[in-house]
Amino acid sequence: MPDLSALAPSLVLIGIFFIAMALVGRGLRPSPNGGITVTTRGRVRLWQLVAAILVLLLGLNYLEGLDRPDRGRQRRIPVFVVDAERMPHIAAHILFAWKMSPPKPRLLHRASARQGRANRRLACADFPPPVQPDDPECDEYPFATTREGGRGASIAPVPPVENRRQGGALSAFYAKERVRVGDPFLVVVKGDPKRYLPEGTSADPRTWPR
Amino acid sequence: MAPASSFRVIPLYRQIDVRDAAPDAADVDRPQWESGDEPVLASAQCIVLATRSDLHGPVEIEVWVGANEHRPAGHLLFEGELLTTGEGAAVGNPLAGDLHRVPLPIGWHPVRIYGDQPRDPARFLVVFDETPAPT
Repeated sequence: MPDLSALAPSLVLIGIFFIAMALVGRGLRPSPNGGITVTTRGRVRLWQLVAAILVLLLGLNYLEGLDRPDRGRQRRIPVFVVDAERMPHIAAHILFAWKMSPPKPRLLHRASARQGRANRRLACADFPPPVQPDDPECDEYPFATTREGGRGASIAPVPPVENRRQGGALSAFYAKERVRVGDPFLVVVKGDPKRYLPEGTSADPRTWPR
Repeated sequence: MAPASSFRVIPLYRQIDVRDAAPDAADVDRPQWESGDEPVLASAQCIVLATRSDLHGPVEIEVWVGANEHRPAGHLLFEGELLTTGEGAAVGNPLAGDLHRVPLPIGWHPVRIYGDQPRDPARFLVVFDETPAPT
């Protein structure tokens, strides 16, 4: 099937021309000497003129849209990178969650703020609140701020400093990539967390102390 | 003098923002944690405060505007300026969708932030000068 999309602007332009002509009571017909004659149907009324101008403006607006560089292209899916060097426990937890049965998804969708707060409560309901400032924090995957988060999310105890770094990174990511409610994004882990976890710490979050 | 506003915020990821309420969050240069153990981070348009875990429930924030004579008790966490670019300031936790607006004119606003304790406070007091600092 030939791609006719290249012809679209010309077809639209021709269509607009004829609509505008019709609205102002004009038409075109072949003349006997081989040219084109403009025909008239009485006096042009003000509403016809206004309508023709509106149609032309709408058409021009559409044509202008055709030139926009992002038109016709699907919006790329933003990628949230979890840096294993900066957040080794969180990165290890995500890798673990991806291998669970069934595996937790890599493609997530941002949740509303209300759902995000509810997800956090549901996911970490059984996690003991930290008593000391350095006590482990509840980390959940899929993130509470996503539609996939909440009940059934994988949870793991992570150092609070990593939790804070993760929050800062996620907040900046949502803002920079303009990830709105319902928008998808992909999670990737950069680096091997085993290289950055403290010596003697397993990459299996089930072995981490709470 | 009464506070401009007083509210409770769920501190997801153990942090609270005091930021320029620019319509597009992408326009705000949010400082990033280095160690994750810093009590405060600051850029021109955003101050980020470390706080306790949200598993303990919401934290309390009180905002005062134009209270130069106010001498609140508590630990001074931050003293500096915040740039607002037209929509005032916003205080709260953006990931929890819990940002409270503080009407302020455009400009650099001297601001002091106090906490009920030096590390991981659960109560904050934010005091803005109403008049922007002269540039």
